[in-house]
Amino acid sequence: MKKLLCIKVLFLITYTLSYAKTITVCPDCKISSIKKALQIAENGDTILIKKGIYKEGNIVVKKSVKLIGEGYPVIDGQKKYEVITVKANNVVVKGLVIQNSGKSDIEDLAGIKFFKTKNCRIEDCILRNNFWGIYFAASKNGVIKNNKVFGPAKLEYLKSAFGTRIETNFGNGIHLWHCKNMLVESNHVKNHRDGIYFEFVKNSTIINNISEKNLRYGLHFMFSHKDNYINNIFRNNGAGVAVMYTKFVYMANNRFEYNWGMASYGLLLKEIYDSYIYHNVIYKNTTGIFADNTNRTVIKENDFLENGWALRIWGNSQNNIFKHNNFIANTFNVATNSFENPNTYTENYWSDYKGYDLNGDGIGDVPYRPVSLFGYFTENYPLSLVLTRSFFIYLLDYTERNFPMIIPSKLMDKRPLMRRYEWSR
Amino acid sequence: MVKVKNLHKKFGKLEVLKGINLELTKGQVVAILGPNGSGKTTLIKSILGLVIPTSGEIYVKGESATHSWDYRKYIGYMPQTAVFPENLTLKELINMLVDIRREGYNPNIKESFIKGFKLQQYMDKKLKTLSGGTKQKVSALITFMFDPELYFLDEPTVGLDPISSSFLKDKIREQVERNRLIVLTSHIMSEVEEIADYIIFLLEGVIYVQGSVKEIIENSGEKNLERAIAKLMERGYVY
Amino acid sequence: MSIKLLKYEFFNMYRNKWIIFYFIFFLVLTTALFYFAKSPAKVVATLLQLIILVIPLTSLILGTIFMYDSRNFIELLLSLPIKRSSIYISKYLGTTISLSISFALGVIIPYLFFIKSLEEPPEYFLYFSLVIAGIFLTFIFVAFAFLIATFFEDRVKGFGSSILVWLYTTLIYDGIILFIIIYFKDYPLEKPVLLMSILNPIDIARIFVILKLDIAALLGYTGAVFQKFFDTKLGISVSFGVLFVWIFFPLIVGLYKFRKKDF
Repeated sequence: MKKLLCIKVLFLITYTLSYAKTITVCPDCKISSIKKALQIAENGDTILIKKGIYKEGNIVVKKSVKLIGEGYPVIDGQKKYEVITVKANNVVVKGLVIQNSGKSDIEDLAGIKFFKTKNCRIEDCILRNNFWGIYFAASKNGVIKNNKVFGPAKLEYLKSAFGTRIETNFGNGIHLWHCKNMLVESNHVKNHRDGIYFEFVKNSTIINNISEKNLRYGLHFMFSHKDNYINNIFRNNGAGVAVMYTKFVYMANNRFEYNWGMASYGLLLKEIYDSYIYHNVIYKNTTGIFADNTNRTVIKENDFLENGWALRIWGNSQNNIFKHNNFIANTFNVATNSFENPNTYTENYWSDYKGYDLNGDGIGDVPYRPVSLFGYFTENYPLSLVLTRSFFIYLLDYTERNFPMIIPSKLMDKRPLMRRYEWSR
Repeated sequence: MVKVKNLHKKFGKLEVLKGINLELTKGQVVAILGPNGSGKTTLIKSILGLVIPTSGEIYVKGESATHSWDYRKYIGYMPQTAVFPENLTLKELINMLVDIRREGYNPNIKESFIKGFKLQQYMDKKLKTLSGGTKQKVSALITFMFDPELYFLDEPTVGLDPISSSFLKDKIREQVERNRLIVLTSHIMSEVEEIADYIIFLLEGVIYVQGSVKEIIENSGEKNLERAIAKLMERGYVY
Repeated sequence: MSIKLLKYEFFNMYRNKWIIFYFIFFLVLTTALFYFAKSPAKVVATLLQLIILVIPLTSLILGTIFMYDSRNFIELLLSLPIKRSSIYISKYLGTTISLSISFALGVIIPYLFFIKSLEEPPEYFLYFSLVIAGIFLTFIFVAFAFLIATFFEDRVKGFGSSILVWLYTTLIYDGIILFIIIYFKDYPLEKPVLLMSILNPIDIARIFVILKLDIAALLGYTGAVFQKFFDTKLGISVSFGVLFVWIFFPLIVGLYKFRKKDF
């Protein structure tokens, strides 16, 4: 009986496949517009779009079709319309250039928007100069893969317009809102407001993406529980990466680098609970990780290299564990506004640790205090930064480390490593 | 050859030379004598330009010595204690000086000094390893080998053995015959008596007495120069 | 004449054990740094500490030693037909160039040696700004050393003054800046502090290197005045101008003093 059911199902699938047809669209063909093709298409059909430029206003997809581009046809929104709007399930969009969406203060006009969909995919597409790039709202089980999303927002706008103009003039590259079970993989996003934006997105994965030169955040992440982001590069974004109001995030193997500026962070954590930060490289940021009200989070086996402040942690962040991290050549290792130490720092490598290891177990015999006196000065008198690496400062720090009087003495790593912790890459 | 007009020199508050006037001609050995601290070395160094005079004028072969340095090509100077760059060997020192100074360099004179002082064996030795006497010989060698017209020798025979000492004295006399001017200081009066023609006796920064060796001995009524000078000094202390 | 003298200055310097020691010091230290500190930024940071600390001190101490030790040679040269200023200048150039070469070779050889084996060698530009900074500091502090040695006949006074100059420029000066920053925190201090720091050659050298090394932190500061100033043509020319003034001021005063000096 079971066997019979299997055969029936298999039969049904082959039936639908063999009856699905392919509709070819090209500028000189009988069917020269995508809208026309959509009209005659039925669920399960493939629309093959040949090379050419298609300016058709807003293309709305209401059937479960595949839109496949051949030789990268250009779908142009003429800076007036949302280019493609998908409102059906099981839609596949592949190999298209989607460009010049309109701009609006009221609506989020996107290069391509998926609204209330299931099982949709967008792959191998190039999105250029759109207000918003790829936009998923209230969708499930979607895949966003191998796309290039290049927006119009150049970094020089940042200098004059941070906070005001960019909010209204530029949209996000890959924007997900109220989604579930999504996969964002191997995309390259640049020159948008936020590179990748997650709000109320659950059980999803962001993997192998590059997000750079975005005006605000490379990744902006809010109220999105139980997500993973792995192996991404976030580089040279206006304010780095922000992960906020979220529980159970797994962040691993990412690179956060070159995020420079007053309010710029490799990784900003705000109201984060029970998360895991593992095997990331945090390189050359003004602040490597900024933890504000971050709790029960494990920060393990990360490299903090050459940052201004490797870690800035506010007193409302508690019960976090910092273990086996490498803090190398940062101007300051840890800054905090609290005299207590509600977190655990243990077995990290601090490149400016000057202790010794008599029993040779690889762990320094003298505790390391990562908050330096000079760090304390720069918090209160920012101008004193000009004295960085002065011999005078070196002596001050040295004295304070040995005879602590001013800075919180409870914050220390009692088991500092003598050598860099080598985690496998 | 050398003319000094109203030369004054103060080191801080201490006035060492208090108006020296003198004129020296070629073809003679002039000995500058006087008790310690009478200004002998300061006078020589002033003429050499090592000490900058407080006031007064100095001419060497008609050239003003106060604002110029070129006149030193006529001069050979042998300081009281021989001083050299320590890391050089003797050969390197000679080659270097020849290279820097060049003018007047006479290899024959050099050879005769090396031979006379038996310096051959020290040619490849570092100067700092040489004894005081040997250094003095080297100093004489590098002074004479440029065949200058005017010699300043500050205690030239100190530390020399009798053979070398008489060799040097012979060489000094030889220069007189070649119409050179030699100005020297010495504490050994017998030696002065032996080689000097003219004596300038300094006392407390002024020329107290000057004249030929013969005149000085005769005027004092003593039988030799040593006693004559001793008498002058005693008188000097009395006044 | 000066060229010949210079030739013999070099000749003499390279027989000097200090110069060899100086070279070996930097060679061994830099090699060890590259070997042990795996991170390039760490190498540059430690070298910077070393350079702004050791170069002024050794330039001052060795400069005074050389000047006092070569008094004999200077006296010998003074009795020759040579201009006094030529003697001083060639001595100065001989010392500074030899020290600079020893230092530069000592830090560049390990760099060239390790550049192939390191995954991320220090940036070319950053490393060479470090070398340039070191050379400027050598020229400045040897000029001070010579001035001091010409001024004080007494060696003890000479060394004492050298160490005072060193303490003042490396320690006390920055302490004063920090004091001003803390004490006058309510005033707009960017410009006065900027001015103060370009008046000290060690601070200029240090700021140039930290602008590359600690740019991430410096950009965190609201004003970012320093980056703005030192990145403009005006800023760069003013700082180099000040560095040259710091070379020529002690050099010319020392020369003046030397020409009037009794030997």
